[in-house]
Amino acid sequence: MGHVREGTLRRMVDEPLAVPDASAGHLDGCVRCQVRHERVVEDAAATRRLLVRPRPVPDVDRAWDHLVERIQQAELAGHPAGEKVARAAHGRRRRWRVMGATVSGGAAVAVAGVVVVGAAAAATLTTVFAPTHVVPVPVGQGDLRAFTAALGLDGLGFHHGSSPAGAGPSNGGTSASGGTSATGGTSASGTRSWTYGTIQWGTPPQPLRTDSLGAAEAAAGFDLSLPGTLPSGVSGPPQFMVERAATLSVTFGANAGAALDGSTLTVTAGPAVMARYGGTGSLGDLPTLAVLTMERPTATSTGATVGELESFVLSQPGVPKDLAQDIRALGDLQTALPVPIPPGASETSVTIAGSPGVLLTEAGGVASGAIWEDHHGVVRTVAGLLDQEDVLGVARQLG
Amino acid sequence: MGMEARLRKGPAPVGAMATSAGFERFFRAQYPVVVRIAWGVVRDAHLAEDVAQDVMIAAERRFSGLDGYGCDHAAAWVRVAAVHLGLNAVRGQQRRDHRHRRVRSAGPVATPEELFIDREAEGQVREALGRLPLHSATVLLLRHSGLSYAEVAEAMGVKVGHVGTMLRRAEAALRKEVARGTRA
Repeated sequence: MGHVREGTLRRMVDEPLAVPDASAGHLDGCVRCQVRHERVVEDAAATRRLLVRPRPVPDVDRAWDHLVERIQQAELAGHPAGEKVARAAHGRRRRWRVMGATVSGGAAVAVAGVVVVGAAAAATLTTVFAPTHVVPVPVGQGDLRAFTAALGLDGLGFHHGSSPAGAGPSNGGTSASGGTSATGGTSASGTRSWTYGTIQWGTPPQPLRTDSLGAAEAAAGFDLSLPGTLPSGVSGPPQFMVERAATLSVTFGANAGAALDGSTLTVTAGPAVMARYGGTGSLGDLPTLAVLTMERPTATSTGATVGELESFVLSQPGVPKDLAQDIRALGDLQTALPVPIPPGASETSVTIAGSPGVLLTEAGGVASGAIWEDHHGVVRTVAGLLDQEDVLGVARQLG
Repeated sequence: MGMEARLRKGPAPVGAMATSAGFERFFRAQYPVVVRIAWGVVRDAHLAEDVAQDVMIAAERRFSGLDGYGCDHAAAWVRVAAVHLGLNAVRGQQRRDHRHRRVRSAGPVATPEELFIDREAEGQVREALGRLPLHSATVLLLRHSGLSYAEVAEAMGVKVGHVGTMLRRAEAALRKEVARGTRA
Protein backbone atom coordinates (compact mmCIF):
# COMPACT_ATOMS: atom_id res chain seq x y z
CA MET A 1 0.00 0.00 0.00
CA GLY A 2 0.98 3.65 -0.33
CA HIS A 3 1.99 5.88 2.51
CA VAL A 4 -0.51 6.43 5.29
CA ARG A 5 -2.69 9.49 4.81
CA GLU A 6 -2.31 12.39 7.21
CA GLY A 7 -5.89 12.04 8.41
CA THR A 8 -5.30 8.39 9.24
CA LEU A 9 -2.09 9.24 11.06
CA ARG A 10 -4.03 11.76 13.10
CA ARG A 11 -6.78 9.32 13.96
CA MET A 12 -4.16 6.82 15.15
CA VAL A 13 -3.36 9.27 17.94
CA ASP A 14 -6.93 9.32 19.29
CA GLU A 15 -8.66 6.20 18.06
CA PRO A 16 -5.97 3.68 17.08
CA LEU A 17 -8.41 0.77 16.99
CA ALA A 18 -10.48 2.53 14.34
CA VAL A 19 -7.57 2.60 11.88
CA PRO A 20 -7.19 -0.28 9.38
CA ASP A 21 -4.55 -2.86 10.27
CA ALA A 22 -2.87 -2.29 6.92
CA SER A 23 -2.17 1.34 7.84
CA ALA A 24 -0.76 0.41 11.23
CA GLY A 25 1.38 -2.28 9.61
CA HIS A 26 2.70 0.14 7.04
CA LEU A 27 3.60 2.64 9.70
CA ASP A 28 5.64 0.04 11.56
CA GLY A 29 7.89 -0.48 8.57
CA CYS A 30 8.02 2.95 6.94
CA VAL A 31 10.50 5.47 8.25
CA ARG A 32 8.99 8.28 6.22
CA CYS A 33 5.53 7.72 7.68
CA GLN A 34 7.03 7.42 11.16
CA VAL A 35 8.58 10.87 10.79
CA ARG A 36 5.23 12.27 9.60
CA HIS A 37 3.49 10.52 12.45
CA GLU A 38 5.81 12.14 14.96
CA ARG A 39 4.93 15.56 13.59
CA VAL A 40 1.24 14.73 13.79
CA VAL A 41 1.61 13.56 17.40
CA GLU A 42 3.53 16.71 18.28
CA ASP A 43 0.91 19.04 16.78
CA ALA A 44 -1.90 17.11 18.45
CA ALA A 45 -0.20 17.32 21.85
CA ALA A 46 0.55 21.02 21.44
CA THR A 47 -3.05 21.71 20.50
CA ARG A 48 -4.29 19.73 23.46
CA ARG A 49 -2.11 21.81 25.75
CA LEU A 50 -3.56 24.96 24.25
CA LEU A 51 -7.19 23.96 24.25
CA VAL A 52 -7.77 21.52 27.08
CA ARG A 53 -8.32 23.08 30.49
CA PRO A 54 -10.47 22.25 33.49
CA ARG A 55 -14.00 22.75 32.27
CA PRO A 56 -16.88 24.33 34.12
CA VAL A 57 -19.69 22.02 35.18
CA PRO A 58 -22.97 23.89 34.75
CA ASP A 59 -25.88 23.75 37.13
CA VAL A 60 -28.46 22.37 34.70
CA ASP A 61 -31.47 22.98 36.96
CA ARG A 62 -30.59 26.64 37.35
CA ALA A 63 -29.84 26.94 33.64
CA TRP A 64 -33.19 25.41 32.79
CA ASP A 65 -35.06 27.84 35.02
CA HIS A 66 -33.16 30.72 33.46
CA LEU A 67 -33.99 29.56 29.96
CA VAL A 68 -37.69 29.24 30.70
CA GLU A 69 -37.68 32.70 32.24
CA ARG A 70 -36.00 34.20 29.17
CA ILE A 71 -38.47 32.64 26.80
CA GLN A 72 -41.40 33.77 28.89
CA GLN A 73 -40.10 37.33 29.00
CA ALA A 74 -39.47 37.38 25.26
CA GLU A 75 -42.94 36.10 24.51
CA LEU A 76 -44.47 38.65 26.84
CA ALA A 77 -42.63 41.37 24.98
CA GLY A 78 -43.80 39.96 21.66
CA HIS A 79 -40.29 39.15 20.46
CA PRO A 80 -39.81 35.40 20.29
CA ALA A 81 -36.47 34.57 21.84
CA GLY A 82 -33.78 33.20 19.61
CA GLU A 83 -34.97 34.69 16.32
CA LYS A 84 -31.72 36.54 15.73
CA VAL A 85 -29.61 33.94 17.42
CA ALA A 86 -30.99 31.18 15.23
CA ARG A 87 -29.58 32.94 12.21
CA ALA A 88 -26.20 33.56 13.79
CA ALA A 89 -25.97 30.16 15.38
CA HIS A 90 -24.84 28.37 12.30
CA GLY A 91 -22.40 30.62 10.62
CA ARG A 92 -21.00 34.07 10.34
CA ARG A 93 -23.60 34.83 7.75
CA ARG A 94 -25.99 31.92 7.95
CA ARG A 95 -25.57 28.25 8.48
CA TRP A 96 -27.57 25.92 6.31
CA ARG A 97 -27.74 22.26 6.90
CA VAL A 98 -27.85 20.14 3.78
CA MET A 99 -28.66 16.49 4.03
CA GLY A 100 -28.38 14.09 1.18
CA ALA A 101 -31.01 12.59 -0.99
CA THR A 102 -30.69 10.54 -4.10
CA VAL A 103 -30.92 11.83 -7.68
CA SER A 104 -29.43 11.47 -11.11
CA GLY A 105 -27.13 14.32 -11.93
CA GLY A 106 -29.04 15.12 -15.06
CA ALA A 107 -32.36 15.17 -13.28
CA ALA A 108 -30.87 17.22 -10.48
CA VAL A 109 -29.49 19.82 -12.80
CA ALA A 110 -32.84 19.93 -14.55
CA VAL A 111 -34.71 20.44 -11.31
CA ALA A 112 -32.21 23.05 -10.19
CA GLY A 113 -32.63 24.82 -13.48
CA VAL A 114 -36.36 24.78 -13.04
CA VAL A 115 -36.04 26.46 -9.67
CA VAL A 116 -33.72 29.13 -10.98
CA VAL A 117 -35.87 29.82 -13.99
CA GLY A 118 -38.94 29.94 -11.82
CA ALA A 119 -37.24 32.31 -9.46
CA ALA A 120 -36.18 34.59 -12.26
CA ALA A 121 -39.64 34.59 -13.77
CA ALA A 122 -41.22 35.37 -10.46
CA ALA A 123 -38.70 38.04 -9.68
CA THR A 124 -39.58 39.86 -12.87
CA LEU A 125 -43.08 40.24 -11.56
CA THR A 126 -42.48 41.81 -8.21
CA THR A 127 -41.75 45.11 -6.64
CA VAL A 128 -40.23 43.85 -3.45
CA PHE A 129 -39.96 40.14 -4.01
CA ALA A 130 -38.99 38.05 -1.02
CA PRO A 131 -40.77 34.73 -1.40
CA THR A 132 -41.58 32.74 1.68
CA HIS A 133 -43.04 29.64 0.05
CA VAL A 134 -43.11 27.74 -3.21
CA VAL A 135 -46.16 27.34 -5.42
CA PRO A 136 -46.43 24.96 -8.39
CA VAL A 137 -47.15 26.43 -11.83
CA PRO A 138 -47.73 24.04 -14.74
CA VAL A 139 -45.55 25.09 -17.65
CA GLY A 140 -45.90 23.85 -21.22
CA GLN A 141 -42.83 23.00 -23.27
CA GLY A 142 -42.92 26.27 -25.18
CA ASP A 143 -44.30 28.45 -22.43
CA LEU A 144 -41.05 29.80 -21.06
CA ARG A 145 -39.67 30.43 -24.51
CA ALA A 146 -42.88 32.19 -25.53
CA PHE A 147 -42.85 34.14 -22.27
CA THR A 148 -39.35 35.51 -22.75
CA ALA A 149 -39.91 36.05 -26.47
CA ALA A 150 -43.02 38.11 -25.75
CA LEU A 151 -40.93 40.42 -23.62
CA GLY A 152 -38.08 40.58 -26.15
CA LEU A 153 -35.74 38.86 -23.69
CA ASP A 154 -35.17 35.60 -25.54
CA GLY A 155 -32.06 36.69 -27.38
CA LEU A 156 -30.19 38.06 -24.41
CA GLY A 157 -28.65 34.73 -23.45
CA PHE A 158 -27.14 35.44 -20.06
CA HIS A 159 -24.58 32.68 -20.19
CA HIS A 160 -21.72 32.19 -17.82
CA GLY A 161 -18.69 34.28 -18.59
CA SER A 162 -20.20 35.84 -21.67
CA SER A 163 -22.02 39.04 -22.19
CA PRO A 164 -25.21 39.10 -24.19
CA ALA A 165 -23.62 41.45 -26.68
CA GLY A 166 -24.70 40.78 -30.21
CA ALA A 167 -27.30 38.26 -29.23
CA GLY A 168 -30.13 40.51 -28.22
CA PRO A 169 -32.95 42.47 -29.74
CA SER A 170 -32.23 44.26 -32.95
CA ASN A 171 -32.80 47.69 -31.48
CA GLY A 172 -30.23 47.33 -28.74
CA GLY A 173 -26.93 49.06 -28.31
CA THR A 174 -24.52 47.21 -26.07
CA SER A 175 -21.54 47.90 -23.90
CA ALA A 176 -19.78 45.33 -21.77
CA SER A 177 -16.95 45.31 -19.32
CA GLY A 178 -15.06 42.42 -17.84
CA GLY A 179 -13.66 41.71 -14.40
CA THR A 180 -11.96 38.98 -12.49
CA SER A 181 -13.68 36.90 -9.88
CA ALA A 182 -12.07 35.97 -6.62
CA THR A 183 -11.50 32.48 -7.93
CA GLY A 184 -9.98 33.59 -11.16
CA GLY A 185 -13.03 33.23 -13.39
CA THR A 186 -14.20 35.92 -15.72
CA SER A 187 -17.02 38.17 -14.67
CA ALA A 188 -18.85 40.10 -17.33
CA SER A 189 -21.30 42.91 -16.99
CA GLY A 190 -22.95 45.25 -19.34
CA THR A 191 -25.86 47.39 -20.39
CA ARG A 192 -28.34 46.87 -23.18
CA SER A 193 -31.11 48.99 -24.57
CA TRP A 194 -34.33 47.04 -24.70
CA THR A 195 -37.71 47.58 -26.28
CA TYR A 196 -39.15 48.64 -22.94
CA GLY A 197 -36.14 50.34 -21.40
CA THR A 198 -32.59 49.42 -20.39
CA ILE A 199 -31.20 46.24 -18.92
CA GLN A 200 -28.05 46.07 -16.84
CA TRP A 201 -26.54 42.82 -15.71
CA GLY A 202 -23.67 41.40 -13.84
CA THR A 203 -22.90 37.92 -15.09
CA PRO A 204 -21.25 35.79 -12.42
CA PRO A 205 -18.00 33.99 -13.17
CA GLN A 206 -17.96 30.37 -14.23
CA PRO A 207 -19.41 28.14 -11.54
CA LEU A 208 -16.80 26.67 -9.25
CA ARG A 209 -16.50 22.90 -9.29
CA THR A 210 -14.69 21.40 -6.37
CA ASP A 211 -14.63 18.38 -4.10
CA SER A 212 -13.62 20.53 -1.15
CA LEU A 213 -16.36 21.47 1.28
CA GLY A 214 -14.25 24.37 2.52
CA ALA A 215 -13.69 25.74 -0.98
CA ALA A 216 -17.39 25.45 -1.77
CA GLU A 217 -18.34 27.26 1.42
CA ALA A 218 -15.79 29.97 0.81
CA ALA A 219 -17.02 30.54 -2.74
CA ALA A 220 -20.69 30.54 -1.75
CA GLY A 221 -20.22 32.74 1.28
CA PHE A 222 -22.15 30.44 3.57
CA ASP A 223 -21.51 27.19 5.35
CA LEU A 224 -22.89 23.86 4.32
CA SER A 225 -23.39 20.69 6.27
CA LEU A 226 -23.53 17.37 4.55
CA PRO A 227 -25.27 14.18 5.54
CA GLY A 228 -23.52 11.72 7.75
CA THR A 229 -25.52 8.85 6.30
CA LEU A 230 -26.39 8.47 2.66
CA PRO A 231 -29.28 6.50 1.23
CA SER A 232 -28.57 3.06 -0.14
CA GLY A 233 -26.93 3.20 -3.55
CA VAL A 234 -25.44 6.63 -3.00
CA SER A 235 -21.83 7.27 -2.16
CA GLY A 236 -19.83 10.28 -1.06
CA PRO A 237 -17.96 12.47 -0.74
CA PRO A 238 -19.94 14.82 -2.95
CA GLN A 239 -18.76 17.09 -5.71
CA PHE A 240 -19.78 20.70 -5.28
CA MET A 241 -20.83 23.20 -7.89
CA VAL A 242 -21.08 26.76 -6.66
CA GLU A 243 -23.01 29.41 -8.56
CA ARG A 244 -22.28 32.95 -7.47
CA ALA A 245 -24.94 35.59 -6.99
CA ALA A 246 -26.18 37.30 -10.13
CA THR A 247 -27.93 40.65 -10.43
CA LEU A 248 -30.10 42.05 -13.18
CA SER A 249 -31.60 45.54 -13.27
CA VAL A 250 -34.30 46.72 -15.61
CA THR A 251 -35.03 50.43 -15.99
CA PHE A 252 -38.32 50.91 -17.79
CA GLY A 253 -38.78 53.56 -20.45
CA ALA A 254 -41.81 55.27 -21.97
CA ASN A 255 -42.64 52.19 -24.11
CA ALA A 256 -43.51 50.29 -20.95
CA GLY A 257 -46.33 52.71 -20.19
CA ALA A 258 -46.79 55.59 -17.81
CA ALA A 259 -47.07 53.39 -14.74
CA LEU A 260 -43.64 51.85 -15.22
CA ASP A 261 -41.79 54.67 -16.96
CA GLY A 262 -38.68 55.54 -14.92
CA SER A 263 -38.96 52.62 -12.51
CA THR A 264 -36.01 50.30 -11.95
CA LEU A 265 -36.49 46.68 -11.02
CA THR A 266 -33.44 44.92 -9.58
CA VAL A 267 -33.40 41.16 -9.27
CA THR A 268 -30.79 39.24 -7.30
CA ALA A 269 -30.48 35.46 -7.37
CA GLY A 270 -27.99 33.18 -5.68
CA PRO A 271 -25.49 32.24 -4.54
CA ALA A 272 -26.34 28.56 -4.81
CA VAL A 273 -24.47 25.36 -4.09
CA MET A 274 -25.23 21.96 -5.50
CA ALA A 275 -23.78 18.94 -3.75
CA ARG A 276 -23.74 15.96 -6.10
CA TYR A 277 -23.17 12.39 -5.01
CA GLY A 278 -22.13 9.37 -7.01
CA GLY A 279 -23.48 5.86 -6.92
CA THR A 280 -22.21 2.68 -5.35
CA GLY A 281 -21.22 -0.65 -6.86
CA SER A 282 -21.97 -0.89 -10.55
CA LEU A 283 -23.36 2.64 -10.52
CA GLY A 284 -19.83 3.88 -9.94
CA ASP A 285 -19.50 7.54 -10.68
CA LEU A 286 -23.04 7.87 -11.96
CA PRO A 287 -24.57 10.83 -10.14
CA THR A 288 -27.43 9.57 -8.05
CA LEU A 289 -28.26 12.40 -5.71
CA ALA A 290 -28.10 16.17 -5.67
CA VAL A 291 -28.95 18.69 -3.03
CA LEU A 292 -29.30 22.30 -4.08
CA THR A 293 -29.22 25.10 -1.54
CA MET A 294 -29.73 28.68 -2.56
CA GLU A 295 -30.56 31.96 -0.97
CA ARG A 296 -34.04 33.02 -1.96
CA PRO A 297 -34.14 35.40 -4.90
CA THR A 298 -35.20 38.94 -4.19
CA ALA A 299 -36.31 41.89 -6.27
CA THR A 300 -36.70 45.55 -5.53
CA SER A 301 -38.39 48.28 -7.49
CA THR A 302 -37.86 52.00 -7.30
CA GLY A 303 -41.37 52.90 -8.33
CA ALA A 304 -43.74 50.48 -10.00
CA THR A 305 -45.95 48.36 -7.80
CA VAL A 306 -46.32 44.60 -7.95
CA GLY A 307 -49.69 44.95 -9.61
CA GLU A 308 -48.37 47.32 -12.27
CA LEU A 309 -45.45 45.04 -13.07
CA GLU A 310 -47.71 42.00 -13.22
CA SER A 311 -50.17 43.75 -15.53
CA PHE A 312 -47.39 44.88 -17.82
CA VAL A 313 -45.76 41.47 -18.12
CA LEU A 314 -48.88 39.38 -18.45
CA SER A 315 -50.57 41.71 -20.92
CA GLN A 316 -47.80 41.38 -23.48
CA PRO A 317 -48.97 39.71 -26.69
CA GLY A 318 -47.46 36.25 -26.92
CA VAL A 319 -47.53 35.40 -23.21
CA PRO A 320 -49.39 32.06 -23.04
CA LYS A 321 -52.89 32.66 -21.66
CA ASP A 322 -52.90 29.59 -19.45
CA LEU A 323 -49.57 30.55 -17.96
CA ALA A 324 -50.76 34.09 -17.36
CA GLN A 325 -53.86 32.75 -15.61
CA ASP A 326 -51.82 30.44 -13.45
CA ILE A 327 -49.50 33.27 -12.46
CA ARG A 328 -52.45 35.53 -11.62
CA ALA A 329 -53.89 32.72 -9.53
CA LEU A 330 -50.79 32.68 -7.37
CA GLY A 331 -52.15 35.62 -5.43
CA ASP A 332 -49.51 37.61 -3.57
CA LEU A 333 -46.52 37.55 -5.89
CA GLN A 334 -44.32 39.15 -3.31
CA THR A 335 -44.23 36.01 -1.22
CA ALA A 336 -44.82 33.18 -3.70
CA LEU A 337 -41.96 31.48 -5.51
CA PRO A 338 -43.41 29.75 -8.58
CA VAL A 339 -42.04 26.29 -9.32
CA PRO A 340 -42.58 25.39 -12.96
CA ILE A 341 -44.00 21.88 -13.39
CA PRO A 342 -42.82 20.36 -16.67
CA PRO A 343 -45.29 18.51 -18.90
CA GLY A 344 -45.87 14.91 -17.82
CA ALA A 345 -44.49 15.38 -14.35
CA SER A 346 -46.78 14.68 -11.42
CA GLU A 347 -46.86 17.20 -8.63
CA THR A 348 -47.98 16.92 -5.03
CA SER A 349 -48.13 19.62 -2.39
CA VAL A 350 -46.32 18.54 0.76
CA THR A 351 -45.22 20.02 4.06
CA ILE A 352 -41.55 19.79 4.86
CA ALA A 353 -40.52 20.80 8.35
CA GLY A 354 -43.51 23.07 8.58
CA SER A 355 -42.94 24.74 5.21
CA PRO A 356 -45.07 24.17 2.10
CA GLY A 357 -43.23 22.31 -0.60
CA VAL A 358 -43.72 20.72 -3.97
CA LEU A 359 -42.92 17.06 -4.61
CA LEU A 360 -42.32 16.25 -8.26
CA THR A 361 -42.02 12.91 -10.01
CA GLU A 362 -41.00 12.70 -13.63
CA ALA A 363 -43.33 10.99 -16.06
CA GLY A 364 -41.55 7.61 -15.99
CA GLY A 365 -41.39 7.55 -12.20
CA VAL A 366 -37.61 7.12 -12.28
CA ALA A 367 -36.65 10.41 -10.67
CA SER A 368 -38.26 12.55 -8.00
CA GLY A 369 -37.53 15.88 -6.46
CA ALA A 370 -38.74 18.08 -3.65
CA ILE A 371 -38.54 21.87 -3.53
CA TRP A 372 -39.34 24.08 -0.61
CA GLU A 373 -38.25 27.21 1.21
CA ASP A 374 -37.41 26.76 4.85
CA HIS A 375 -38.09 29.14 7.71
CA HIS A 376 -34.74 30.86 7.20
CA GLY A 377 -35.34 31.92 3.62
CA VAL A 378 -33.29 29.13 2.13
CA VAL A 379 -34.68 27.53 -1.01
CA ARG A 380 -33.84 23.84 -1.01
CA THR A 381 -34.10 21.16 -3.63
CA VAL A 382 -33.50 17.48 -3.11
CA ALA A 383 -33.71 15.33 -6.20
CA GLY A 384 -32.47 12.01 -7.49
CA LEU A 385 -33.12 8.58 -8.87
CA LEU A 386 -35.37 7.81 -5.94
CA ASP A 387 -39.02 7.29 -5.31
CA GLN A 388 -41.12 9.94 -3.64
CA GLU A 389 -40.86 8.46 -0.18
CA ASP A 390 -37.07 8.43 -0.26
CA VAL A 391 -36.89 12.00 -1.49
CA LEU A 392 -39.39 13.19 1.05
CA GLY A 393 -37.68 11.27 3.80
CA VAL A 394 -34.41 13.01 3.06
CA ALA A 395 -36.02 16.40 2.55
CA ARG A 396 -37.67 16.26 5.93
CA GLN A 397 -34.31 15.80 7.58
CA LEU A 398 -33.12 19.12 6.22
CA GLY A 399 -35.58 21.34 8.05
CA MET B 1 -41.44 19.63 37.05
CA GLY B 2 -42.13 19.46 33.34
CA MET B 3 -41.75 22.32 30.96
CA GLU B 4 -45.46 22.91 30.51
CA ALA B 5 -46.00 23.11 34.25
CA ARG B 6 -43.13 25.55 34.61
CA LEU B 7 -44.46 27.77 31.91
CA ARG B 8 -47.99 27.71 33.27
CA LYS B 9 -46.64 29.22 36.47
CA GLY B 10 -46.04 32.49 34.69
CA PRO B 11 -48.69 34.89 33.50
CA ALA B 12 -47.48 34.89 29.93
CA PRO B 13 -49.24 33.04 27.16
CA VAL B 14 -46.92 30.30 26.06
CA GLY B 15 -46.08 29.41 22.52
CA ALA B 16 -44.66 26.49 20.69
CA MET B 17 -42.20 25.72 23.42
CA ALA B 18 -44.93 24.57 25.77
CA THR B 19 -46.02 22.00 23.25
CA SER B 20 -42.52 20.54 22.89
CA ALA B 21 -42.59 17.91 25.54
CA GLY B 22 -39.19 16.54 24.57
CA PHE B 23 -37.33 19.81 24.84
CA GLU B 24 -36.57 19.65 28.55
CA ARG B 25 -35.13 16.16 28.14
CA PHE B 26 -33.10 17.37 25.19
CA PHE B 27 -31.92 20.43 27.14
CA ARG B 28 -30.79 18.42 30.14
CA ALA B 29 -28.85 15.98 28.00
CA GLN B 30 -27.21 18.51 25.71
CA TYR B 31 -26.70 21.60 27.84
CA PRO B 32 -23.53 20.39 29.63
CA VAL B 33 -22.02 19.39 26.29
CA VAL B 34 -22.89 22.74 24.75
CA VAL B 35 -21.40 24.63 27.70
CA ARG B 36 -18.23 22.56 27.44
CA ILE B 37 -17.87 23.31 23.74
CA ALA B 38 -18.67 27.00 24.18
CA TRP B 39 -16.17 27.25 27.00
CA GLY B 40 -13.51 25.86 24.68
CA VAL B 41 -14.06 28.93 22.51
CA VAL B 42 -14.69 31.76 24.94
CA ARG B 43 -12.59 30.52 27.90
CA ASP B 44 -14.94 32.10 30.39
CA ALA B 45 -17.47 30.08 32.37
CA HIS B 46 -20.09 32.82 32.51
CA LEU B 47 -19.85 33.70 28.86
CA ALA B 48 -19.90 30.01 27.95
CA GLU B 49 -23.22 29.66 29.74
CA ASP B 50 -24.57 32.76 28.01
CA VAL B 51 -23.63 31.25 24.66
CA ALA B 52 -25.14 27.91 25.62
CA GLN B 53 -28.40 29.59 26.64
CA ASP B 54 -28.59 31.39 23.30
CA VAL B 55 -27.90 28.16 21.45
CA MET B 56 -30.61 26.28 23.29
CA ILE B 57 -33.16 29.02 22.75
CA ALA B 58 -32.32 29.02 19.06
CA ALA B 59 -32.65 25.25 19.04
CA GLU B 60 -36.02 25.45 20.72
CA ARG B 61 -37.24 27.75 17.99
CA ARG B 62 -35.69 25.74 15.22
CA PHE B 63 -36.88 22.32 16.27
CA SER B 64 -40.13 23.05 18.07
CA GLY B 65 -43.06 21.53 16.28
CA LEU B 66 -40.82 18.98 14.65
CA ASP B 67 -40.78 16.82 17.73
CA GLY B 68 -37.21 16.15 16.70
CA TYR B 69 -35.31 16.71 19.91
CA GLY B 70 -34.44 13.07 20.16
CA CYS B 71 -32.81 12.95 16.77
CA ASP B 72 -29.12 13.19 16.11
CA HIS B 73 -29.66 16.21 13.90
CA ALA B 74 -30.76 18.43 16.78
CA ALA B 75 -27.83 17.34 18.94
CA ALA B 76 -25.40 17.90 16.08
CA TRP B 77 -26.91 21.28 15.39
CA VAL B 78 -26.49 22.66 18.91
CA ARG B 79 -22.88 21.50 19.08
CA VAL B 80 -21.84 23.30 15.93
CA ALA B 81 -23.98 26.28 16.93
CA ALA B 82 -22.04 26.48 20.20
CA VAL B 83 -18.81 26.90 18.27
CA HIS B 84 -20.21 29.48 15.90
CA LEU B 85 -21.89 31.59 18.54
CA GLY B 86 -18.82 31.28 20.74
CA LEU B 87 -16.63 32.59 17.96
CA ASN B 88 -19.08 35.40 17.33
CA ALA B 89 -18.87 36.29 21.00
CA VAL B 90 -15.09 36.27 20.89
CA ARG B 91 -15.11 38.50 17.86
CA GLY B 92 -17.43 40.97 19.52
CA GLN B 93 -14.81 43.17 21.12
CA GLN B 94 -17.18 45.32 23.09
CA ARG B 95 -18.95 42.42 24.68
CA ARG B 96 -15.68 40.66 25.36
CA ASP B 97 -14.23 43.65 27.11
CA HIS B 98 -17.34 43.98 29.19
CA ARG B 99 -17.08 40.38 30.22
CA HIS B 100 -13.41 40.64 30.97
CA ARG B 101 -14.17 43.13 33.69
CA ARG B 102 -16.00 40.50 35.59
CA VAL B 103 -14.18 37.41 34.37
CA ARG B 104 -13.66 34.67 36.85
CA SER B 105 -11.30 31.87 36.12
CA ALA B 106 -12.93 28.49 35.77
CA GLY B 107 -9.76 26.76 36.92
CA PRO B 108 -8.25 26.38 40.35
CA VAL B 109 -7.24 29.45 42.38
CA ALA B 110 -3.87 30.77 41.23
CA THR B 111 -1.46 33.49 42.15
CA PRO B 112 -1.91 36.89 40.51
CA GLU B 113 1.17 36.24 38.35
CA GLU B 114 -0.18 32.90 37.23
CA LEU B 115 -3.55 34.42 36.53
CA PHE B 116 -1.93 37.11 34.43
CA ILE B 117 0.05 34.57 32.41
CA ASP B 118 -3.02 32.35 32.00
CA ARG B 119 -5.16 35.21 30.79
CA GLU B 120 -2.50 36.28 28.32
CA ALA B 121 -2.25 32.77 26.95
CA GLU B 122 -6.02 32.30 26.88
CA GLY B 123 -6.38 35.54 24.97
CA GLN B 124 -3.84 34.41 22.40
CA VAL B 125 -5.62 31.11 21.93
CA ARG B 126 -8.96 32.86 21.54
CA GLU B 127 -7.55 35.23 18.99
CA ALA B 128 -5.82 32.45 17.09
CA LEU B 129 -9.04 30.44 16.96
CA GLY B 130 -10.86 33.50 15.69
CA ARG B 131 -8.43 33.83 12.80
CA LEU B 132 -8.84 30.25 11.65
CA PRO B 133 -11.34 29.29 8.97
CA LEU B 134 -14.66 28.48 10.60
CA HIS B 135 -14.60 24.78 9.79
CA SER B 136 -11.06 24.48 11.19
CA ALA B 137 -11.99 26.13 14.47
CA THR B 138 -15.11 24.01 14.63
CA VAL B 139 -13.36 20.66 14.21
CA LEU B 140 -10.73 21.63 16.77
CA LEU B 141 -13.21 22.73 19.37
CA LEU B 142 -15.56 19.81 18.92
CA ARG B 143 -12.81 17.21 19.08
CA HIS B 144 -10.95 18.81 21.98
CA SER B 145 -14.18 19.17 23.92
CA GLY B 146 -14.24 15.40 24.05
CA LEU B 147 -16.47 14.41 21.14
CA SER B 148 -15.50 11.25 19.29
CA TYR B 149 -14.62 11.28 15.60
CA ALA B 150 -18.06 9.91 14.83
CA GLU B 151 -19.75 12.64 16.87
CA VAL B 152 -17.64 15.34 15.25
CA ALA B 153 -18.53 13.94 11.83
CA GLU B 154 -22.21 13.92 12.68
CA ALA B 155 -22.10 17.46 14.03
CA MET B 156 -20.24 18.83 11.03
CA GLY B 157 -22.06 16.77 8.45
CA VAL B 158 -18.94 15.14 7.05
CA LYS B 159 -17.71 11.57 6.69
CA VAL B 160 -15.93 10.13 9.70
CA GLY B 161 -12.94 9.47 7.50
CA HIS B 162 -12.58 13.18 6.82
CA VAL B 163 -12.37 14.22 10.45
CA GLY B 164 -8.75 13.14 10.86
CA THR B 165 -7.66 15.13 7.84
CA MET B 166 -9.59 18.21 8.90
CA LEU B 167 -8.26 17.92 12.43
CA ARG B 168 -4.68 17.45 11.28
CA ARG B 169 -4.80 20.55 9.10
CA ALA B 170 -6.57 22.58 11.76
CA GLU B 171 -4.03 21.68 14.44
CA ALA B 172 -1.13 22.66 12.24
CA ALA B 173 -2.90 25.91 11.38
CA LEU B 174 -3.62 26.69 15.02
CA ARG B 175 0.01 26.24 16.01
CA LYS B 176 1.05 28.62 13.27
CA GLU B 177 -1.55 31.19 14.30
CA VAL B 178 -0.55 31.00 17.96
CA ALA B 179 3.12 31.38 17.02
CA ARG B 180 2.24 34.36 14.87
CA GLY B 181 0.28 35.94 17.70
CA THR B 182 3.15 35.39 20.12
CA ARG B 183 5.65 37.06 17.80
CA ALA B 184 3.37 40.02 17.12
